Amino acid sequence: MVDERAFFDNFAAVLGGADRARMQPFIADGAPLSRLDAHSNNFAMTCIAALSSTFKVVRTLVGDEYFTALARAYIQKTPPEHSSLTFYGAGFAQFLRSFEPAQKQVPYIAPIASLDWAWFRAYQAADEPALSGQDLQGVAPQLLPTRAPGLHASVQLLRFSIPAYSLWKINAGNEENPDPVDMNGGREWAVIWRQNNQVQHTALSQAEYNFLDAIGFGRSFAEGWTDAIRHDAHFDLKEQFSRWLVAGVFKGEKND
Amino acid sequence: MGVSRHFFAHNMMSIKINLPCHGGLGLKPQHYQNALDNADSGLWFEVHPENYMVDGGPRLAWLEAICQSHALSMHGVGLSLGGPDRPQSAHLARLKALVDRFQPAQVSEHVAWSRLGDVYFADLLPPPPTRATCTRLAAHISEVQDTLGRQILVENPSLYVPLNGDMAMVDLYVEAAKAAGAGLLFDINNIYVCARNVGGCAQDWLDAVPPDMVGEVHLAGFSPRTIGDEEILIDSHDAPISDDVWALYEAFIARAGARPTLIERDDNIPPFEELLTEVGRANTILQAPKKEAANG
Repeated sequence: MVDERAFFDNFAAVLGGADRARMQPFIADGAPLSRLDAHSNNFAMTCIAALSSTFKVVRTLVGDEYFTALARAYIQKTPPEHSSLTFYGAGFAQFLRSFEPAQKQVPYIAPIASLDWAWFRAYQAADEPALSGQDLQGVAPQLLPTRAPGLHASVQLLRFSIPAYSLWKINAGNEENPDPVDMNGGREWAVIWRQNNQVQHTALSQAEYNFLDAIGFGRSFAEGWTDAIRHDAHFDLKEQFSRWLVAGVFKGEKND
Repeated sequence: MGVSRHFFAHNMMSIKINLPCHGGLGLKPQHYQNALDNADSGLWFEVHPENYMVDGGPRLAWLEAICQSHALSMHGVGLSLGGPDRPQSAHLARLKALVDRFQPAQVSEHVAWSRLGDVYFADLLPPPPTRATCTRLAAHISEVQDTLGRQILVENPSLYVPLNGDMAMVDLYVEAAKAAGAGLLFDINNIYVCARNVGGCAQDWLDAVPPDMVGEVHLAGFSPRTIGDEEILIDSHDAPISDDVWALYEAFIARAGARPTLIERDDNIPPFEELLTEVGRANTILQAPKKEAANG
């Protein structure tokens, strides 16, 4: 009789790195236990491939070999929970922040992983209309600042203590001869979102970040402006409103 | 609770063929535009629904567009039907949402397990070939069919190591499907890989699988890999289909008649046209039994 509970428990343990001998009672014909490595390899390679397709810039910056080592360490610490690996990378940036070897060797890599992840979140975010000029027809101009549309589901706001966005951008795009990034360049802010099914991104000033962040928290354009002028006394609400309306970062009004 | 309460169980004589009896292709993001531009209405596409379990965005938009002119098959890899636990309800709900939205011609899964407790092992692991597994597998298949409100096909596993049990793997596969009123997805590459890795003969699988239950065939390439001091064949889907597998396929189609046939390629992906050459080779074989019948 095959003890099924033991079969599954031991198989899972071997995949997690336990001694292959635990599967001995279940293997027929004296076949070599080393063959179980085929499954351990498949497990690891599938997870690495999933991470690799999401964290493209991380991989570009650290190289395939180092990326694989980072991914293996992540899999060991945080094996996948969901039966779809689409969101397996959700904890990768946080892991890199706490993983000592990465912090020592590639201290800039965790923010780069946050940017890769934000790109992916924008790419697959829910389909919903962005606020359009048409939505605002009939709104008296003096009432416009009181509107609080929120941000489109795809919008990802990011801030960094190093020039992570600049570094990410030149490696994410196809720019020829990009300017080198001064890694002592200080803080950066950025936004990533999706418009017409294309992922867009751009650098922000701290005031712009505060403005969009306020809108994301459900505050009005006027309140967003109040947050923005703390960092830029010349922050022009009308100009910023038009810019981000055209870019499609505000949530549209459901009209069905 | 037995599986007989499920509404498909009494309805199983022979399987209804839902996809075109034509070659199909696994749909890859790098081929979205080629797929959309392809005018062959017999060409169908298969996707892993797990890759489309997202809230929105271009992936779903492409699939929506391609579905307008080509039949679609959803071939799951994550339900862990052969495992000790019931299919995860959250995963099943996400699958149902996709099936409801895209109304694929076919839905299929594997006779394999990939989950224990909170860990997903991201591989198609072989279940122990036992009566107890067979009963549980049938119950899991039934649960999926009841949730989706439709019959599914289940695929035979690849084996790298022979497992102890009280029944043959092929019987586990056929009997569980029968008990649940499901159909079979017959992967010819898997039987070749199994025979080479764990002994026995691919022909035994061909003989033991009832053709009337087969609603779809898979063909793929494998890659030899050295593990320990021996070479085994990995069901890697990263190479062209081997001549040996084509020969087994031809033998099966000659016996079973034409079946929807998927060319599976998941890694080392060549240009779309190169995959269409393999689709064309399958189509030539699919047309052969009809010619024989006409000549006879």
